[in-house]
Amino acid sequence: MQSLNISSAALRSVQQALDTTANNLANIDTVGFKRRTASFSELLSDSLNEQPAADRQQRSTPPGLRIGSGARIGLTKLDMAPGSARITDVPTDLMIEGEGFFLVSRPLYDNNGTMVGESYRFTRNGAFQVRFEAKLGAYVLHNAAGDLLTDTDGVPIMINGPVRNLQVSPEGVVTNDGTAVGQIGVWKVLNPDQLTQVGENEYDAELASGMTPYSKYELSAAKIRQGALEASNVNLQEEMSQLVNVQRAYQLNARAIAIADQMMGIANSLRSR
Amino acid sequence: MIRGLYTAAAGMLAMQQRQEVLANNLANINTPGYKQDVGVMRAFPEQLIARIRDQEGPNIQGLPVMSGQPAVIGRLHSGVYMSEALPIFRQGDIAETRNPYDVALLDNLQPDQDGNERRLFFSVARLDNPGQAAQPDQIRYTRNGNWSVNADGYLVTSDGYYVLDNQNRAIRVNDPADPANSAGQQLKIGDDGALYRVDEAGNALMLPGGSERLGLKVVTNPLQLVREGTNIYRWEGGGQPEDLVQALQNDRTARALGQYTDPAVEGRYGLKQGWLERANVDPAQTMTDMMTALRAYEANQRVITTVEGTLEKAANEIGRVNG
Repeated sequence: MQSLNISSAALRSVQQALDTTANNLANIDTVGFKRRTASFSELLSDSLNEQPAADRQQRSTPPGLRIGSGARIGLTKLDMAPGSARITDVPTDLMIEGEGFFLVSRPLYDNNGTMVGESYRFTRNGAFQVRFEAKLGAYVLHNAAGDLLTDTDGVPIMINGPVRNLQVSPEGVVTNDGTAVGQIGVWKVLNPDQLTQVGENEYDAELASGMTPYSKYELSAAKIRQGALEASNVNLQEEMSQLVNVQRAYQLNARAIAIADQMMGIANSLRSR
Repeated sequence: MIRGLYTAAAGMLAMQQRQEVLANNLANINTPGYKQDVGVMRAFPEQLIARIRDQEGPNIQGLPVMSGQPAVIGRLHSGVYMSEALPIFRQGDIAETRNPYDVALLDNLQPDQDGNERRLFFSVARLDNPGQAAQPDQIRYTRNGNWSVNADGYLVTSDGYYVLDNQNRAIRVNDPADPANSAGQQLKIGDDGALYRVDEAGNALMLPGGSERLGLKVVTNPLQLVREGTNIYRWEGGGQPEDLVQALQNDRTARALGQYTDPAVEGRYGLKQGWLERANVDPAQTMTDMMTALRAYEANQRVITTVEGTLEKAANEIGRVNG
């Protein structure tokens, strides 16, 4: 019974769509989170060609009987729509107004504490904190994953001396007590769908250690807003209606399996006497 | 041996295939641009049945009656099979996704002069070298406008087919070597299929690959399309599907020349970027059809058991001596 395979393939893909919706809902309060939308795609068709020759005439379609074999998840596309602004008035909370990502770097140290390289990631999460980084000998801005915010050259922004009255201009220029210490880089990614999601609200920037971000990306014209955070772009109503949709699709396919099962039972009972 | 046995078995097989088609429709209920299939049942070719060694013999005027010859009783179909799965190309409803790489196709093209159905499709192709234009035999058609951009910056379907422009070339949205002249998220698709990008100042600019318009094709009599799966259809009819602009122009010319006077002949269509066309499967109808198929299957099984009961009588009761 091909019908069982068709419906179970569909159940599997519907399950994955549900996983996507569940992850969106779980991250509804994650700062800078971008939701994903699952979309389905058809599987290949089987073609049966053993048909009576008399059938060649009087038909509307080309010869052969083609029956599809179910569905699968085609794409889970990233929805880059902006989230709403959440005003926090915390000076180290930043929000990108427009297209682009912050580039954060994670220095990699060996056992002796010497830096052996860096890994670069993109994030829309602008909740940064100030801490003193002893290895760099300066104050840095880091996010919840411990990664350091970088400037327009991909170098961590370092603040010397006591951090006092930190200001970030819409262009990203950071001033500490009136002295400019660097400009935050906001990078435009042409095709965010190609970025690998690495968890912790970050995407792999695919830059080798020491590689300048200019070699792959360009700066975005987006403005930075200080004292605000970007809420996730998950829309509760939309996710709930997707949930209903997915649940009904699951039930319909489960019902199709039940019917196929009943048909097999009927075939089995041919020899019941 | 007993004809009814094979007839009913053919009925069961046909109902099983019908159920598969319906299950596939249900499986694709959320597939963008999916067009539902309808199973077409057909009786086996009819055959003449005759009575052999007839005592009466055939009674033909002018000839002597000869006994012991076969006499024709009449015609009989001995079963049913599913001859084809007809795709129904009715427009599906559309849903908003707000993704720049999603396009819903809306068409309301009038039938052509001979009354054939006409439907609008996107053209796609699998290409070894996306820099070269697709050959006619490589082109496939789809209604699924759920696309993404691959690592080289080309617009592709979820199964890796390149989306083609009106010159059958792959559409390059981004040039990874030249990000400043790439469209990125700023790809715009007009409601007539025009392709362009806008810069920060709002100016409309050309895409890096030079594509100006989507390759929209008008397929006359879409039943001649072969379903390949993965939302893709292959054209097996005569000639090639017309380019949309050409098809509309031909309609206007025919009307101007008086060959066709119906003013409604000019086609109407539209594209909506950020929307998707949903499957045109009706779950309630499909479920009902499935129940019908199940019961017809059961009825055929009942026929087999009945025939089997008759056979049992023949085998075990006739010829029993001490009854």
